Amino acid sequence: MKALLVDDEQDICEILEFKLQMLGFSCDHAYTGNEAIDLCKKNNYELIISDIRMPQGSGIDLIDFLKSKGQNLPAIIFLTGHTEVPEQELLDLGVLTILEKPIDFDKLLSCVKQNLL
Amino acid sequence: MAYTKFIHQEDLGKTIDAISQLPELKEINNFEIRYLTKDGNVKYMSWNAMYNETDGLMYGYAKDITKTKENEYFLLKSSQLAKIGGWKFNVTTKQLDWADETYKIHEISKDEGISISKALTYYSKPHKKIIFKIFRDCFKGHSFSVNLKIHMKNSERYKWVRINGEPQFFNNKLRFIQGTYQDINDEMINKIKLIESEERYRFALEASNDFIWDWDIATNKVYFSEQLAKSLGYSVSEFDQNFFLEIMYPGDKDKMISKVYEYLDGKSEFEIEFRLKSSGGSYRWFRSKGKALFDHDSKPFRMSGSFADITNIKNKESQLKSALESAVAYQFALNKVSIVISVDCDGKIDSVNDQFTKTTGYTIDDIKGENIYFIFGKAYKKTVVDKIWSSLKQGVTWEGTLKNKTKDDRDFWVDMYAVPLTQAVDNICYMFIAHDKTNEVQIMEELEEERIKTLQSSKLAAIGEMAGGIAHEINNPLAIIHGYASNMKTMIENNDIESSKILVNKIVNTTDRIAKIVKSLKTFSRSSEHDIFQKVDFIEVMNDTLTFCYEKLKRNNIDLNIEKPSDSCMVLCRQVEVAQVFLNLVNNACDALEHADQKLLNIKIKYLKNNELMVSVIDTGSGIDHTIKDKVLNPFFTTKEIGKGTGLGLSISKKIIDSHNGVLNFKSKPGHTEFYFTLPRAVGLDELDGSFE
Repeated sequence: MKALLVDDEQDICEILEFKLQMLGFSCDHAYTGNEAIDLCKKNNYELIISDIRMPQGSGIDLIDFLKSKGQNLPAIIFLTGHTEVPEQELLDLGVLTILEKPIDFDKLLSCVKQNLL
Repeated sequence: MAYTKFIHQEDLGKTIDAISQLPELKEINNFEIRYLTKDGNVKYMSWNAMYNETDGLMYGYAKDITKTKENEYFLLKSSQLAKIGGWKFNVTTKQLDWADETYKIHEISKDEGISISKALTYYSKPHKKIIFKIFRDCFKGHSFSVNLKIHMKNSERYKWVRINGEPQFFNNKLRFIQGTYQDINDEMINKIKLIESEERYRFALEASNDFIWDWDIATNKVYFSEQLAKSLGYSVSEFDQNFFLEIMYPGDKDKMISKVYEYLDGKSEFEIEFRLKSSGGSYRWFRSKGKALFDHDSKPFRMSGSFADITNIKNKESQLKSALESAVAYQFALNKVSIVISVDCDGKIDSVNDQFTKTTGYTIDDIKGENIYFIFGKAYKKTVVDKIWSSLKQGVTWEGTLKNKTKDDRDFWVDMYAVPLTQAVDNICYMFIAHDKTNEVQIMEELEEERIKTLQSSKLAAIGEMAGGIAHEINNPLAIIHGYASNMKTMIENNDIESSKILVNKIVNTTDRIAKIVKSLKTFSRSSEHDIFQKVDFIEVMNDTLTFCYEKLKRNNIDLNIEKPSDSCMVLCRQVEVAQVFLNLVNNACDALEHADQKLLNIKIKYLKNNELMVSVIDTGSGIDHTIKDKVLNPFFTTKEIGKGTGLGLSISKKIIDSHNGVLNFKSKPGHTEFYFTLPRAVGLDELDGSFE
């Protein structure tokens, strides 16, 4: 299974990659919104864990792009510092769940296990 | 008693000889002999004696010739001293005869003989002409007296001689011309020297401010230096003694005349000060000194002296007098309001006034003779006093504010002037004048405390607005550490030690990130009370402050752009206060961009030409409405929703920048609002490091 990890902090991506590898994912990293869109053009991911606010593009932009591909959305977990965008709105868009930063990794992993494995 | 007892010892022999020869010679005339008088003096007698063969007796009579003899003796002596020789010219035979002394004067031997032509070789051509002329006059019966120069043979020397001559007529016919010949070289040389020195004196006087006057009492003519007339603006020709008295200040005239008489009567020195009116109408002051020459009957015949123009001195005197009078008044006033300390030339306290005691608690008895360090109280700083002392020794007044402790340990402040006197008075070389400003300082301190409190609360308000960001900046790395640590645990359980080692380093780096944020926070929230002016790199201040802002920028999707000089930007400032200003401006800009279409925050840092650093915080928000532009910097004015701003940020920021001698202002139009402030650059201000309270 392939996962895309999007965060401008490389550390976050690395930590998540190790944990997801343990669960059998192979992972790509993106540090900006545009990089994430570029990777999504080339690959199909079963899981996307992404910051909502990123330099050069936001999480909403990413969903808009994925929808424009006309495929089913993968499981999307958004990470956020604050809920500037109402949570319900995001869920309506098809987001699996929204987790607040700082990331609680245990919570995130159990969410992945629950929904994908 | 024997007659011979009275005869002078030296004349006794010739007297006895004469007496024994008298019977043979029958008569002796004009026999001169010296006798001793009863009081021990010598008398000259001239004897005429006869021998009478008929009765065998000697008859004689004598006359006292003491006076004549003395005169002769003096004449001889004086002619020897005066080197007077004689000469005689026989008009008939053209024969010239010289006396011994005349030969001596010419420095030749009598054996060489003399003739008219030989004698004339001693004179220069012009002097020969003079001789011919006076001889022609002499032929007509005129006697003469002339001073001439004779040139010595075989040397370059010459001598001044005085020749007196008188024609001798016999039967109405000129037979001889004869007279005296005198060496007057020394006299002439002295006279020439005198003239030269008088001339030099006159030159010297003319070069100086002094003028000379010379009064011939017999003719009542007064000579004045031409410079006197010129200096007063008159023509030299009109300036005589009458004019002199005319332009003299009326009150000085009688004084002058009576002073002259007093002097001539020998009652006093002649020294007088008087005023002369210049051609411009103003009076100038002169001081004159003089001396008179008196003849044998003690009658003055000539008086001369000098004038000095002392107008400037007089003016200075009167200025000094009024200065002294006002100085006394000042001293009185000064004593009433200020601390006055006089210090002797060795740096020991000589006296203090009541104000000193009132402020410090010390009386003169406590500190008289103490070293000057004591002036500064028991808590003086040696470096400061040394600075003052060295300034004084260089003759430079020192001024500054000093803080110290009174005798009973209370704080006091004075503004002090330490003044070196240009001239020591009664061995006092230095004056310290101080103004007690303890009350002033206490009020200022209270105000400052208030100010700091306000600053502190407004700063906390500013930081509160960033609180969420700060928490995020700490929590994020904490989560990372937590993540890495949990991964590491898994790695260790799987015995993947190499991979876990890499994570240890990552954890360490991430804790540094937290440490840095905490440090910035600590710096920022430090109390302003101990925030002193110091050299600071503004770039560091900016970076520290932005740490609190990144989260807010990110949350609002605000792009940040910074333009700054490539090197450090040293400014002289209170670091925390300036950080507070910067944070306020960034905070406001973020708020202004919250609903903007384009969200760009521009920070520009550049040097201005006048040695200031300018910091601009520019946002692309909608701009400040022109109706509220005047109020933006007022306290408690805010456009933010309730609970978001205190309305104090900008007004306090402006106050802070004012206190840094900088400017805080703004310009705004839609899409471009720029708040900027300036700070003095810290260049060449190193000496301030050593400043004191």
